Amino acid sequence: MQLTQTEAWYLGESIKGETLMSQKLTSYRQMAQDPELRALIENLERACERHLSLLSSHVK
Amino acid sequence: MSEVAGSSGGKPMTDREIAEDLLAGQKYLSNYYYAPAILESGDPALRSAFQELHAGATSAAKSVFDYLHSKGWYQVRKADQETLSHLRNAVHQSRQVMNSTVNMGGTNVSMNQGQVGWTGTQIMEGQSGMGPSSVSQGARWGGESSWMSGSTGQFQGTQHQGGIPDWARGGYGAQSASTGWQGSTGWTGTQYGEGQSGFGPSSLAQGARWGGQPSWISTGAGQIHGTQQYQNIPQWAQRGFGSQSGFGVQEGAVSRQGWTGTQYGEGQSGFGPSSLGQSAQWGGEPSWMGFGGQYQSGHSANLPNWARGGTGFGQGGPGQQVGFVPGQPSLGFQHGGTQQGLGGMQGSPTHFGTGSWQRDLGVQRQGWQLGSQGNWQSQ
Repeated sequence: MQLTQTEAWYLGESIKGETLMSQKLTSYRQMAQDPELRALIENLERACERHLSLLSSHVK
Repeated sequence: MSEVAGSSGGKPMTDREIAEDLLAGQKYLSNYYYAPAILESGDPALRSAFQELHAGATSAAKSVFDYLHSKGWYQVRKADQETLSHLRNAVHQSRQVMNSTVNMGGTNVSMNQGQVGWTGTQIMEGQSGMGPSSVSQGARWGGESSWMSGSTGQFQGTQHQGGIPDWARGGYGAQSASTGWQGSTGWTGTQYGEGQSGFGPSSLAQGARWGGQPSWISTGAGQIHGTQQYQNIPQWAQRGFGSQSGFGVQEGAVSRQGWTGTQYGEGQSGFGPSSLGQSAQWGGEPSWMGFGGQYQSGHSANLPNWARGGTGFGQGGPGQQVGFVPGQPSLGFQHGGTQQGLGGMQGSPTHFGTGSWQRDLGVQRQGWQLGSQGNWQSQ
């Protein structure tokens, strides 16, 4: 099904949001001192990658 | 507490600040990207994807919250007895209303309407009557729910409609003495309690106040200039009736409404294709927007700026950017992406940071890269 204008907008914004989140997570992982926080950030990075993959799959 | 000097040489960023910013970011993604995207998606597969993303974002937020809570950096406050008492009262009254409606089969709801003075929602935290956010820690609202009629809290409708808020009544004779949405009600509910970064149900609206009417009410200082029949109906619901103009009439409504809170941008035209935003007018700007955010009606007033192809005068801006600077506690989660057109929607719902919503001085970003100074720079 072809995307509507609305859907396309949300897809685009979501991709940008997740991309920026991913960039932040990378920086934060390097900055974090607490190993627990670092591990948490790594998990979030993986989730972010999955989200981006899922979003991208809807862009034909 | 560990501190890390940012690569830009700015203020060191602590683990707590990092976690709080991550929480704010996840909340933002959840609330302002995925939640509305679910509602606006017509394609089942895409809708399902957004639901999955929404669940992922909330799950991530929970993980970060757990971390903050375990460190004692996120204290939750239990409801006090007064609040609980009001809550129980609200539940009791709600049941009364429902029972009356059901028992009467919808034909004769002639209950003691004077007791339907819904007070629980306004006085308590976690109000349920208004606003998209249901929880507001520390929020107080001394007035009555806007859709309630009269100062006594009485529904003055007909017998058939007694249990129904005025705005839900179809008849013409059931108006009340109240003008409905009033500028004097001093709504501080939704935004008031969300003033802390990473705290509360929404990461937006930090310390925001609203003393007047919602932005989608156009004219006057918190008054509905409607006919008697429609006084309790928001203007957008009155289009075409009486003296109402509804959306799309007031050119560049000024920012006197002072709404800087969460709802300002929600559902508004230009903030995304929400069904609320059709032809919406709003005069101010949300807290996370740059200056001059007036949404003006025009030939393309129904379209958000990003959907407009034409050239615009929305902003040029002096070129400064307040961007994502590693090491800065108030780093902005700013990537613009939206473009300006007529009406000057400046900014997009893509700003979030830890400390405060930063004013974007006029530059939107389409892409990012990490510069040599450690700053995120547009490509």
